Amino acid sequence: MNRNLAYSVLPLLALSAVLQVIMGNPDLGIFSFPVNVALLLALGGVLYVLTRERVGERFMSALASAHAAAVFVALTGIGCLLIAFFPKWDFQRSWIFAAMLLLLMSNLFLAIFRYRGRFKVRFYLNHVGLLLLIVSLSLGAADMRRMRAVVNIGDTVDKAYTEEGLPYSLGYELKLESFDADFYDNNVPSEFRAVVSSEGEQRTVRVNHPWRKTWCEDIYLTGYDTKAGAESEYCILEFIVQPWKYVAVVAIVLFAVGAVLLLWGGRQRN
Amino acid sequence: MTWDVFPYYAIASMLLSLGGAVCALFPKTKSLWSHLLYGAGILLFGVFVAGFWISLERPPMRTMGETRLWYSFFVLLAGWIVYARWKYSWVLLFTTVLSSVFSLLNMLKPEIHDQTLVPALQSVFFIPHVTVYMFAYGILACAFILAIAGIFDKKRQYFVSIDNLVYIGTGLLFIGMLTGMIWAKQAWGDFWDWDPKETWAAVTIAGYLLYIHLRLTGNARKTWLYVVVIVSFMLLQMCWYGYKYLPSSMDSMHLYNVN
Repeated sequence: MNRNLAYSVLPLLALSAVLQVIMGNPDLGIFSFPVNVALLLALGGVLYVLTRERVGERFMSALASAHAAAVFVALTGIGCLLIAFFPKWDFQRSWIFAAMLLLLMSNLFLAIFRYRGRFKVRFYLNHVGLLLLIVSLSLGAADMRRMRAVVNIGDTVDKAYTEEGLPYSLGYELKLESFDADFYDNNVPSEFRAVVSSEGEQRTVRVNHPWRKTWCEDIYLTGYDTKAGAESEYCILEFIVQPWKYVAVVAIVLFAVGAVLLLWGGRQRN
Repeated sequence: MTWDVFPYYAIASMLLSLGGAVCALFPKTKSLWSHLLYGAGILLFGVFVAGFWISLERPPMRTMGETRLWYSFFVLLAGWIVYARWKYSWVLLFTTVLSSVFSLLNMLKPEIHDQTLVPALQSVFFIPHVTVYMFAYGILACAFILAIAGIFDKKRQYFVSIDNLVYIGTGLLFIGMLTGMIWAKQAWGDFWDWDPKETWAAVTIAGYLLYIHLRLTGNARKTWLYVVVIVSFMLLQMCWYGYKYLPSSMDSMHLYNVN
């Protein structure tokens, strides 16, 4: 590994390991809005100014290089392998994995600021798309809330429960009007659906068809009394608040167009 | 068209493809014959897939057997593209053997007769997600074969072909992953949930991105580059079916044929 690159990677990984030992996995809540946005702007801003003013040029070149990208991609891949083999470790929530993603994001920022090659459109689509995707799924996760409520047919709910079992006010009332399900001959469900209403609106919710309640909140039908089948007296509804949803959608669109250009153009030499 | 007639189509397709592959090995044979025979093998396989789709009344992409079907088809197709584009005379033989292995598995494995389609799979993203992934697997299988050849054959350079195959395959992997992310948001509420299959997809993509960036550095050792392509293909096998053999797979939302 390049010495300048090692100076950036090793101290950060060592620091994250120390934090991990002392504090355990970080509480995602501390990174919720506006902290996550401030962190993102600070990281991007500092790297932009350092690039423009040519401060620490050797160090920045090393951090922006394809060599650094290879190292950071390999590190992230190793992190994913740990998640795959040891899911109980929750490595994806650790300080060490956060440090790996921070390195990858820094490399992406610098690569975007410094690219001077010929294939600008493809390069920017892929790298900006990937950067936004990582940002929306990592920093954005701090603002995401996933809550569930078991609702009997005819009942109205105004609160749901987080994964930790804490009650959370929905800010509106939602009524479960009816539930129905269809089955194949072997009793595997072919479709199940619930009619719900709120604030004068009525919707049918089924798998793959959530109710887009607001710009950042969706309501999903996730379960029912499987023993009772179509006669189920209740449904399990999931309320998902994800303010970074459209950032992720924009990232996916950019990245998808970049991916099409990647397979269309193949390897192109500068 | 059902699984009962699959052996007839598969064996006929194998023989035609093998005929095309053998013709390609002999320089004196006109390459037209290898294209004709191999192309007929692909066409016959495609006819079975289309007929099977119609008779099932749903896309044949749910069970492991059905994804193997697509893999066998796309490996043949990817081999044909590589042969037409870069004229490696031996590549058709390897893709024929690889495709035949997966067809034979389908003939010998009985756990493929299931016509149900659970609600989570009833999505507009189902067909593009699975077919794009299977095509990527076929393309990357060709890159894997060339990397193996590169390890043993020190006289020839395979990097131009491997580069193009990896770029195309990785582009397809990205499209498969991105369509899967939007589908996951619609079905389960989040774009990414560290489900075992998602995690292995991320590992696989990291492998191929590592190769792409090592090539961009311009100073990576050739043997190591071949090894990265080979290991990435192994990781891809984990993503496709290998993860099911790990204890963590019990929590996976991608096991549709396990009640």
